[in-house]
Amino acid sequence: MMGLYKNLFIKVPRSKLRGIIGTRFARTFSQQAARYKPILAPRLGNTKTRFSSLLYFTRPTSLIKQSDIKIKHKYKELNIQIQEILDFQQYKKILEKVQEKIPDRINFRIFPTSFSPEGYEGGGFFRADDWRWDTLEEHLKSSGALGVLVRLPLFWQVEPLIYYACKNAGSFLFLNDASNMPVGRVAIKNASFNTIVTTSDDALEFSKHIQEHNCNDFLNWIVVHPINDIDINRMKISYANTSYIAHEVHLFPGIPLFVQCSHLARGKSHHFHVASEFSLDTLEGSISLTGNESDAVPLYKVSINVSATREKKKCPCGREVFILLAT
Amino acid sequence: MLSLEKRNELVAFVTEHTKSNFYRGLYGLQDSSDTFSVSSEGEWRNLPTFTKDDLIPIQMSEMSFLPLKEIDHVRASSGTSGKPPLFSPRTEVRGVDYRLKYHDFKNPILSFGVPLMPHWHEELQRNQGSRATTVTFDPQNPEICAHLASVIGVDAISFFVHHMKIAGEALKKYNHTSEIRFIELAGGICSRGLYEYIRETFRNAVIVPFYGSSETEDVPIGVPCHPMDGSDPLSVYHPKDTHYLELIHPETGEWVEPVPGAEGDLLITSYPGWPCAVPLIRFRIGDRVSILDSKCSHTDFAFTVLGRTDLDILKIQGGVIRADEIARVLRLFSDLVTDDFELHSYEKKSGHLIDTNIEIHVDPKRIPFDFNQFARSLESSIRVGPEKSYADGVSVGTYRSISCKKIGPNDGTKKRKRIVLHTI
Repeated sequence: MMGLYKNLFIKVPRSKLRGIIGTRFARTFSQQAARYKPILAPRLGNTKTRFSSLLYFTRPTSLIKQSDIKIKHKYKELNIQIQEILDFQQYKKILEKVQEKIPDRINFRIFPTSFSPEGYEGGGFFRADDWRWDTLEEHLKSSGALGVLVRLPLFWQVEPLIYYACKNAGSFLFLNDASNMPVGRVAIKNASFNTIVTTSDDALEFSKHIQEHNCNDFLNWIVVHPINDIDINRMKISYANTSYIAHEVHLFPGIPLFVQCSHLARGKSHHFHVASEFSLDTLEGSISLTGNESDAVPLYKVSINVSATREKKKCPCGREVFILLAT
Repeated sequence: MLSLEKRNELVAFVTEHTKSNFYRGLYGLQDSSDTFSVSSEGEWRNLPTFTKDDLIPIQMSEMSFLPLKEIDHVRASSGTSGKPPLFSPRTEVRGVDYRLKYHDFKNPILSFGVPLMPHWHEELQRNQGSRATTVTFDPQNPEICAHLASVIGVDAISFFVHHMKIAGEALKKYNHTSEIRFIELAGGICSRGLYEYIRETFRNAVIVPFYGSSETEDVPIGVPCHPMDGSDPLSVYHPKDTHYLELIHPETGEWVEPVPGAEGDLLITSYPGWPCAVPLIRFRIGDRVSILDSKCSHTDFAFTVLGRTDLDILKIQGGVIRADEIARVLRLFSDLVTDDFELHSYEKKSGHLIDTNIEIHVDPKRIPFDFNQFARSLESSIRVGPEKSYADGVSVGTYRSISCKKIGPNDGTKKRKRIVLHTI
């Protein structure tokens, strides 16, 4: 019960608790709540607590506490004031400001902070160099991927990550310039490529190209959507010859935020899980993100312009499920 | 290079009945359970050669000696010849230890997918006990990549020679040029003008050429004799231990002895050891090479790559115009022009006669520039045969006069063709 309480972060008035579980346990829970109040207060704000209004989705209290401390310590080292970063644009500006100060940058992999060159403002997101794109690996294994056609832009910095996923899944990759669709099509026809990893825009165009050229091989699609351009209708599109399709929403290029397990992908679902590197708080309809302390500049309660509702029923894989709304 | 004994083992290996059928078909063993062997250099030289065109119709799964699940990644031929792409599998990165003479690879590297994939660079870094981090270079978005490279602390570069200008300008913007200590250049000839730009921009870098091809799994094809220093018109290479290189006459296919001064089309036999997806035996890569009189300490012969046989050599009546010859002549006029150029050949067929107009696009250093006068100078200097200049042909009416004009801009994302054919 104590563990359950710790996991749920429920601040329930003692009177109500007494009614639920008895006086003795209620007193204990209230003592715990008082102990955790200094930590919980920044998260809870001034909102009156209700049973269903606040859930911390991913990690036990003790781990969250440790992670928060480490994140705050990093911010202190980098001279970042937490209250400077309230929304995603402010966070990106901070990334730009502090990137030269990050110690041991060589131990990280750097990703651009924009999905397109037009939106690039000069910052880089640093993630530990031993981080791996596990969700991609899961999809490659589940779908029976053999040749993987990589049509994501090179500047996204994802080639090594895709390679490691392929290696563990028994697949091989080919970097196909997205503007060169004929080569990609011939690769499918002649070189055993049955899986495509690409952007949502390109998936549509390449799918049309394949259909126009009567390419009938069954294909697996792993489609990456940028956080600033979530289009649920595009997720419902049927791509050419689809055998398996998985969608991901990335916070930055190469940084998954909303992911699908193989259950959701096989079901051609438009439901998502939150990537394990992030935790999500919902507060009065808005979403804030906290990242992983292993990132060089982790997100800490950064609000993002995404609407998501949590489904009541969990996924067969055991994780919470969300429905995203368009940005 | 591979000894005859090793080559014989290789031939026996590739013709074993359980392996890919390609060589069995090539050597006429299709319906036989026999393997093949060679016991003399004469027998070796009688083995059939093959080209990329022979491989294109074959599915990669049929060509590969390995199950596809064991392949690391795939390369595709560039398609500059206009033919369908050939997909060539790769296994492990090997045979690049020579680079450690020039750089320690302890810091991140800015790399394109050529000559080595970013994940291969990371593997090499790990082998050196360093953290494995690369920044992938995107020629469509050089500035973003240059910025990421400057922030993460890249000190090495590895990509196509024709990317260097756009990468250089992008890195200059982020004041990250003096930090670069190693530059690896692949994918063609580095003109004198481009070399001077690289030297000027990256003053602290050692510049090492890389000779590879998408069809050859065991790259590089030759180990560079020394870093580029501007003294050689073309980079100098030596054969690797895991290769056997030969020359054949481009027209007759006859074997050419690799003595200094010899020229011919290059044949590659390569086997880096197991695992190997596609061992090559007497593969005609399509490059024209020249054997040099080497003064270095390397034991095998030295060679230089003159260009692509089908792209960099233009046959004309009674002679040939070679791209490397045009480059040589342009360097004679280095006060007037750079050695960047494009030669456009306009052919008009009339019955069995071919009427050819040659137009050479050059990059003048001065304005105004007398293109007509310069064209006359070029005619006198361009050799089309051992004892014959282009002007000799003009004087007897065999050739039309050359014309010159200003070369068009190159955005740096694609390799510039040196000889362009137009059929009217």
